[in-house]
Amino acid sequence: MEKDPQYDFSAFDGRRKKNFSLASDYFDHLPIQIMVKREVAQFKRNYWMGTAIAAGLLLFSLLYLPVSSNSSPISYGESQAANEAFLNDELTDEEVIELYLSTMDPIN
Amino acid sequence: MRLRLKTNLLRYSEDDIVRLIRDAKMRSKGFSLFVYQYQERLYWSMRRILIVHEDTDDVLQEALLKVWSKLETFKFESSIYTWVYRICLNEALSFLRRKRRVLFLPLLNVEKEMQQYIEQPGVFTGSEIEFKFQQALLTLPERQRLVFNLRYYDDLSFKEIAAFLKLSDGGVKSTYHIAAKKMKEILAAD
Repeated sequence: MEKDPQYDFSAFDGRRKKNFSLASDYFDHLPIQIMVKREVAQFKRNYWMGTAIAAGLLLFSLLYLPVSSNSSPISYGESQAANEAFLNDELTDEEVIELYLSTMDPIN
Repeated sequence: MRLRLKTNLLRYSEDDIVRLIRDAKMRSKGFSLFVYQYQERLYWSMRRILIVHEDTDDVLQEALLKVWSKLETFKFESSIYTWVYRICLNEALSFLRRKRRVLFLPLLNVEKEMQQYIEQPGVFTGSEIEFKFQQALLTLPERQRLVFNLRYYDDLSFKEIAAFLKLSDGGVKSTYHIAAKKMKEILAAD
């Protein structure tokens, strides 16, 4: 490293000293504090990830899973029956559509 | 017991630590050893910049947590200490910027606050002449103080300082010379 002889501050040489007060056990505690914070951060990350996954599943179930309800135009049972009939080749495409439409409320 | 544990922990070389950190299963242990090994060096480097213990403690902890979260992405192209030092330094600089923004203070007032802090009884433990040196340092504008600190205390080359502070080599060199000249003048006037 280049030296700077023109700026020699050796008269004030506190350069290698640690001139500020500090608790003598500070460096015993610092690694432990960091370890604890690391664990907390990891927990939080896992917690938010868990929450996000749960929220995603809930949203998915609300949007895509059929829900049986009195107000629903097609009940879960009817829909299932139509699906099964279609899958078992008991009904043609047109018949399945007809079956679905027959269970729906007519448009005013 | 604690002393023996500490001595054992300090026996690891940087190569040992790097080897542990490279291994995903041993990374946590490697990081803990790194913290044990380099905490004092990092602390005092940051303390000379931030002066206040509580600020230094916050910044150091934040920076080391950042290091931990980024450790997987470290490419081992530079020494791990240099990489961590850079993260700590960036954290310290953004802390000072935040402090200025929050307090809406003109540039030199953060340094003024630091001056008042070291004047409190029991904070500065060096000799009177070292105290004068520290006070003179706190009269410098931030960039000059930083460059002077990194050069004088941390023995960094102008090139390294330029890279850390994202400045040109020439700019750093002239900033250091201006700072050192000012220091000489302030100290000569006392």
